[in-house]
Amino acid sequence: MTESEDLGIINASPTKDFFIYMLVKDLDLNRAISDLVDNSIDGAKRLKGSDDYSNLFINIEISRDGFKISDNCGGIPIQIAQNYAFRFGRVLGTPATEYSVGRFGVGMKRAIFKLGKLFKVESITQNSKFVVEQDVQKWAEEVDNWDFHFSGREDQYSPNEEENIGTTITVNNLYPGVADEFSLENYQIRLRNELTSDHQISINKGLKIALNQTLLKPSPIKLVISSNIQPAYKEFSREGGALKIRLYAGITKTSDPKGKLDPSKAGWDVFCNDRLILKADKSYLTGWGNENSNPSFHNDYARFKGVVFFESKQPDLLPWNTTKSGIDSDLPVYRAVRQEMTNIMKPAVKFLKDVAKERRISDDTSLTPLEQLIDDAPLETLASIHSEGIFRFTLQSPIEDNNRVKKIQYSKPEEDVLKVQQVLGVSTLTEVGQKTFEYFMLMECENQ
Amino acid sequence: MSASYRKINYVLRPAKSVERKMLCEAFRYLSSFQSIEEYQYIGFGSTYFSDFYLFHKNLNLSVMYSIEKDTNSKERFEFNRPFKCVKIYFGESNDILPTFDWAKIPSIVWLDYDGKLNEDVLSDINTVFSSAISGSLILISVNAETSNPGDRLNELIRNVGEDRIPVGTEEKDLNKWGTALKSREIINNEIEEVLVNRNGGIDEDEKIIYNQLFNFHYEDDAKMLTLGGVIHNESDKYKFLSCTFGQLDFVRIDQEPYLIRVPNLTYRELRFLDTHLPLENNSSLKLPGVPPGDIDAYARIYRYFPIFAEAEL
Repeated sequence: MTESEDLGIINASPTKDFFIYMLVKDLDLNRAISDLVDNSIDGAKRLKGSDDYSNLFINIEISRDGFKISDNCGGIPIQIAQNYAFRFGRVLGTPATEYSVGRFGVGMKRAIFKLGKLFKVESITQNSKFVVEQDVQKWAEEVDNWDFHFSGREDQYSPNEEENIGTTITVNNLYPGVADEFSLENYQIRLRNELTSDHQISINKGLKIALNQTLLKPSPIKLVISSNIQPAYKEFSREGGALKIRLYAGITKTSDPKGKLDPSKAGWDVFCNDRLILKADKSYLTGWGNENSNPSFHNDYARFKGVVFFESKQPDLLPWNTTKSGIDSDLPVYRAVRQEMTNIMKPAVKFLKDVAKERRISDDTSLTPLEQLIDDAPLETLASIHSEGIFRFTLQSPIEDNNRVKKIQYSKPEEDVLKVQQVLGVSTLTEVGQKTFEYFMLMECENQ
Repeated sequence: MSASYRKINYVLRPAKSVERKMLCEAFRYLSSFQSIEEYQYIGFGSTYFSDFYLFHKNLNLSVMYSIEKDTNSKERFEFNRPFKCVKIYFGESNDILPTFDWAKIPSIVWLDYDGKLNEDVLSDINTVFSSAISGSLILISVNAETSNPGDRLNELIRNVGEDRIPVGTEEKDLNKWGTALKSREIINNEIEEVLVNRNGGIDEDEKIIYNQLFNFHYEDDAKMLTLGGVIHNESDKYKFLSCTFGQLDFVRIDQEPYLIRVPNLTYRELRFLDTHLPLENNSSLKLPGVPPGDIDAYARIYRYFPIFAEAEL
């Protein structure tokens, strides 16, 4: 208390309440769990680099009674646990993981605090083992002591063959809201879908992620590609080559021939070091709308799909926010990429505008030439796109010629229409319209 | 670019003709970046292709693209295509410009609209300034005629959207050449923002800078603004300086415009004046009954002055 008596000093130190109750408010439950998955994936990267995660797994179990995530991704060395992993915020000198997705030093603690009041972290590496077990409320009561304590620690440890070299985090005594959610089948489905999208790239690289014993199965993003229709692809780097960017923009369609395309999936997906940050975005952030000199999203563009991959060994260069649920859009490099997205999407958006226009002036339900072009082209994964270029298609739409065609639509009493139909001897109303018009042309407009 | 080609033969717009020749002369100065023949030219040729004639014949530009939005008279435009090296793209410039290959060679682009500044124009500016490479010269011409009093500010808002109206703009700012001045401000704001975006996260050497060179006001039938300049990256700064655009007396690097004024003079008067031009320092010329202002105007533009004559061809 001696400091506070010094009239020159103002107390600005953080409180534990801030971390336990405030910080978690900005984080939704799925994101908290995704954050823990990110930590495991970082382990996988330390172990295997960033290309192939075969034989690595992350198992997540949720129920009303508790939460558990365990992996075989290498474990946390005691040194790291003691000095870095439990600190709030990244400490200067933290050993870096290349292409890391856990960057802010808040993920694990924040996620645990979001879930419940009792946690246990157990980790086994090739040569060490520790356990940290803590009752959060008891910890909170000791106002000025921020330390956690090892409840078990072996600096020299040789794991036996059955043991997983990895980390297990268990949270019990869940908050009531969390326990309620975890018990809902529908919540589990939503969580599964979200984890599947968030980590689709890592899963495609062989990582096995299971939720309540069932593996997540992603369906890779696909675009239509044929000799007649090609997506845009561009790659470039910024920050002196330290940040690599790949952009794809093209047309997609449903793989279910009877299905309707879901506009909620259209738009841009943005990935940072393989982690999905923005999903199906249709806003200003990804090049849509007047501010970007593009149209605003409309269901005519439901077939549009764009994907951006940011990749960097130095994760602090990536344009994500701390909850990895959005973009730090004021970052100069993101502005530059948004400009590229704005440009690269224009030809694809124009194409879809033409598709919609063609549909509107078409008289029947059969495919228009542009729709046929999309229908004929197979869906391919992004991995099959190698050469850079803008979005192209090679059918000259007949729209331009149709500029001179006008469509007429009118209503008449049913009785009269049937009478005319009978006299003309035709079966459809379209023919009634066409024949009566042709008759008028012949009788009144000849030689005009 | 629009159907105004049916109403007026572009060749007969004297101020426009002067402007075109001035620009042609300025283009030559680009050779510090790259030999001028190796530039690509992108313009809106209409059916007259006046700019294409001038730039091909004088500068030997031979990669030339014309964007034509009137898709109903394709045959007519193709028939009027002046040289084999001119390729016509039919469609809206908004749709066509993003499909060009901008990365290989620098471009001279003239977005020569008949209409007023609007969102489509700004969209094209966005595309070109974010795509053209170092050494490119970009021009924008828009109609800057004042509209009816009371509707001037509203019209500007309708055309470019509220978010682009400079703070403090009032109805009274849009009289006389006010629309041209505001149009320049709005275009400049757009260019600045595009370049800030484009320059995000790139090395200092690679950052793109825009240097305004042209700010023409002229009036054949309506008040017009032509604005433009050169973009180059930081490491090409010395190339830009060695172009020495400052030697051209019609170059304007700020909000102060260069007004192209074309006086009405007879052939005899023109011949007489020519024999005394260029003027040596501060000397002046006199002609019976001709306002000194007209003589002064002629002396400034005589090298670009168009002479029209009726002829049986």
